[in-house]
Amino acid sequence: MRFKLLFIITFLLIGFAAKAQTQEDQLIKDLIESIAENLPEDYDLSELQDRLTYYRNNPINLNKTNAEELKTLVFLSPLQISNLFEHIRKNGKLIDLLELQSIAEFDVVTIQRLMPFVTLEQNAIVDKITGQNLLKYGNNDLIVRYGRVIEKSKGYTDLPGSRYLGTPDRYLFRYRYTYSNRVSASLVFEKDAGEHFFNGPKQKPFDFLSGHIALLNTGRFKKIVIGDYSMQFGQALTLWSGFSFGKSPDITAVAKRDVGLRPYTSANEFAFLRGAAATVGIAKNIDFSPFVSHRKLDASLGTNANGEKTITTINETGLHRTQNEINNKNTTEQMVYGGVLQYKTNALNIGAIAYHTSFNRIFVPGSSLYQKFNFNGKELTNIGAHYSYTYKNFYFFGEFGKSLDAGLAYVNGALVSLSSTVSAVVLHRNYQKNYHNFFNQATAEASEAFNEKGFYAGLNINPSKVWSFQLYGDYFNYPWLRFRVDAPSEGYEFLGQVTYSPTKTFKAILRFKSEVKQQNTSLTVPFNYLDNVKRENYRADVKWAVGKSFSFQNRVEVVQFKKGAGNAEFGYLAYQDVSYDPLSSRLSGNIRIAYFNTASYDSRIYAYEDDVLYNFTFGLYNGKGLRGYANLKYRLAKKLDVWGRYALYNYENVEKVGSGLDEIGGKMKSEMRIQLRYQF
Amino acid sequence: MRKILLAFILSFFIIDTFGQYNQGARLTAMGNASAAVNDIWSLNANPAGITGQKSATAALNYARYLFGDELSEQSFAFVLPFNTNFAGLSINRYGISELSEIKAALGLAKKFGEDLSIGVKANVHQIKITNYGNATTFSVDAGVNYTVSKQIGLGLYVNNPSSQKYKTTNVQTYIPTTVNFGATYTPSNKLVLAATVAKDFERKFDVSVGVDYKFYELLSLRGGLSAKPFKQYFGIGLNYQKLMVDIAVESHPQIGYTPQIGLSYAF
Repeated sequence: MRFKLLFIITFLLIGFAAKAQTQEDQLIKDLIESIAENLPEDYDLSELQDRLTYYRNNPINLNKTNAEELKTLVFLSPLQISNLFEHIRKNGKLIDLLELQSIAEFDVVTIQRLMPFVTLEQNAIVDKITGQNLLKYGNNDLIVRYGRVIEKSKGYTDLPGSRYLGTPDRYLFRYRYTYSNRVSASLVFEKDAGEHFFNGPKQKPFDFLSGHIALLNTGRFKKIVIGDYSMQFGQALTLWSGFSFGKSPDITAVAKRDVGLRPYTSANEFAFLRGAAATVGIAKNIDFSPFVSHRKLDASLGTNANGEKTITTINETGLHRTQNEINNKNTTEQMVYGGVLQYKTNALNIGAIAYHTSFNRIFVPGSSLYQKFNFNGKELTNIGAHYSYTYKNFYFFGEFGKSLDAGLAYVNGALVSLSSTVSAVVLHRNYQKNYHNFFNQATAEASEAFNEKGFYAGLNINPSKVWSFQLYGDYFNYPWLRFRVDAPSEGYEFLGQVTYSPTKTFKAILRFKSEVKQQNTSLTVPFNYLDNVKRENYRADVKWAVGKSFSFQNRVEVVQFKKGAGNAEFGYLAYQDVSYDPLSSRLSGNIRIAYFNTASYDSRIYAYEDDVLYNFTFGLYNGKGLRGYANLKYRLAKKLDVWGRYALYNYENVEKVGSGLDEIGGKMKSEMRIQLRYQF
Repeated sequence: MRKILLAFILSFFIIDTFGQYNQGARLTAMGNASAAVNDIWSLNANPAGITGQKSATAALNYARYLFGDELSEQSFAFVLPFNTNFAGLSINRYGISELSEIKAALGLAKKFGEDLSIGVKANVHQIKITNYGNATTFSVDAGVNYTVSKQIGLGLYVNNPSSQKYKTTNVQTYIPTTVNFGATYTPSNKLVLAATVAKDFERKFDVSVGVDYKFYELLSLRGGLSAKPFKQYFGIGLNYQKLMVDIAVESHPQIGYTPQIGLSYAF
């Protein structure tokens, strides 16, 4: 009943078609969309959105910052960061943000992107940690979110076998505290759809619980984190937990922005370390970051000849809905400890990493030939070294990683500013087939960076304020077999993008992307041979505004998929977004109407969708039908905001939606979400 | 072994590589995105591109195909400017001792003012197979370059527009008919970006892009990509007074690396 009511209210309010975002949110959205092009479906980008939103409210003081902090903005290239510090070193502190225009590599787009997140104003508050200061000047941010799929799916019915044991409701509770740049703390609870809410099996009291307390910039101790944290160093080859960006229309994203130790505030149930970590300045320009983590992981278990339980696969989804998923929950303990030594100057950064990972059970990879070189055993030691060096208009970067008693991997690249309007990136990588690492997010075509060699080259051309061109090409090959690829294979990828923005309120983008890979033939033959699988995307996108309150976005996207000698199949998507965001109104919101028609899952299309703040969605458009959603935000009080979202798929000519336990009778699937944020 | 190689070359390479004559180490390193680029080796691409030469220039180029023991391509070019006219001569030989194709060409180009130049070229093609026979034919190429602004140049050229063939039935190979359109963007005197779209009447569209970056006065770094097939190119150029040494490597997913070296001297 409660849902019905919300449902009706949401529907009524769609009439007001409002925009849940300010202009900076639009920037965040554009940024995420351009940088997150190649991410898998289940990537959690809320941490990034969170980070950017935080800087919007608490801008970085450019005269008092460091490279590590600026790297967290992700869109600044390492060369730009280096040039900024060089400028400050030569000319003294920045007096006006307009000065940025005189720094090499700072083009108009970058400055526009940067402006909302930086300041030159001195922070007036004393940042001494006292009880009174903590109470008086601390920022508290509380988010409570509720959502569910409105239709009842098969998994919630009284099935004899596997079924969802909990309710279809999703809850998120997140509290975050920050005090200047000295103290940070968070507490997160999450319940996914299908999980038990309170005191279910193997949960006390919520399914997912995460938190941290961090003390920052205390003398030699630059960072101390107790609780959940992430470690991101070098080129993500040796030690990198959480997400990292790779190939995308932002061609410089292949040069990773390593931000070192960071408190973890995301609701992703897998990508973090749990324990204690610190970064200590042990000498001038030298930092040491020791860390220790102990946590439980979800794993499917098997039994070996001695009757011992062994680990078959680690499950990263964090879903504990069915009896089987609950049985697998927390079945494995992972212990990680080690340290990172970094030497940092303006131009040169060098780091060395060593750490040890152990499990309480033995890993036994599957018996398929492609798994032959996978990790096998209980313990693993990883060492690595990384560097970056700025010389004139060149930025060189790279990393070497080695798993002891197993493989080696290395990646090297350069970012070059060829002229004031052109920059280029090249990246070479070679990851051996037996390179084992549980915290590896290095640039790769495959989802994990091993068994791959490749070369990437990209160009970014901004001949004027109005035009912008990006293109990259990447060739890769896999020396060993892969899942569904019964021979060494290879492929390539190409992307070209043109942006035309004659005015502040009009922007048109054309994008072409082509990717060819090899995969086992779909035919039944005695021995699988490889077929070329080609996927091409064509996209045209226009954003425009009418007046100060209304803005529009239209997109048409076509995907072509072709495997071997088979016929090409096509997928189409067209949508219209309208957003309403008047300056002085308490209400803002947006809607989308989309039509999609894809021949099969192979020609599916992804597109960014607006959502409630901090919830990041890439919509999947597969099949044939209509998609619509409406978001709205209402400012209840000065520090209290409420978001609502209603989204629906209406498929044509189907009798059921989804498959397995998620199957829903009929042709509709709709979802609602409501979120409250209280900042105090 | 040699027979197999021969068959391989005949079946695949004649068509594939002869389609485009070697454009020298500099243009090759730029992904052969050469339609609007000026170079002495424009003689093997857009003949209007030779109007960039400031003085008489001679060049040699040698490319080695690593999958065979002795498969290579040797080329020679000479360009002579007089007033606003430019005459060029090029000779190319591709193959192994048992099989070779030779192309000799004579080109003429003229500058019409600062912005426009037009070039035409006549080619003689000859295929020679030991103990088998010869075949000879002629073809014509033509091209135009236009400078839109200080930074942007356009180029268009066609190879063999009249679709000449070898006038013999015992040779299967053909002289490709292609239309190539390209542009360059020169944001500074250190940097040239080039792109070319090529359409061979018997094949799919090919798109290529290339970069030539003068890192130091002496040293240039180059790179390029082409789409069909997907190839990557790299090269460096050493420029010492009147002498230029260019090195390029082409990387093809199936064939592997093809290195080449070029030498040119401006009198």
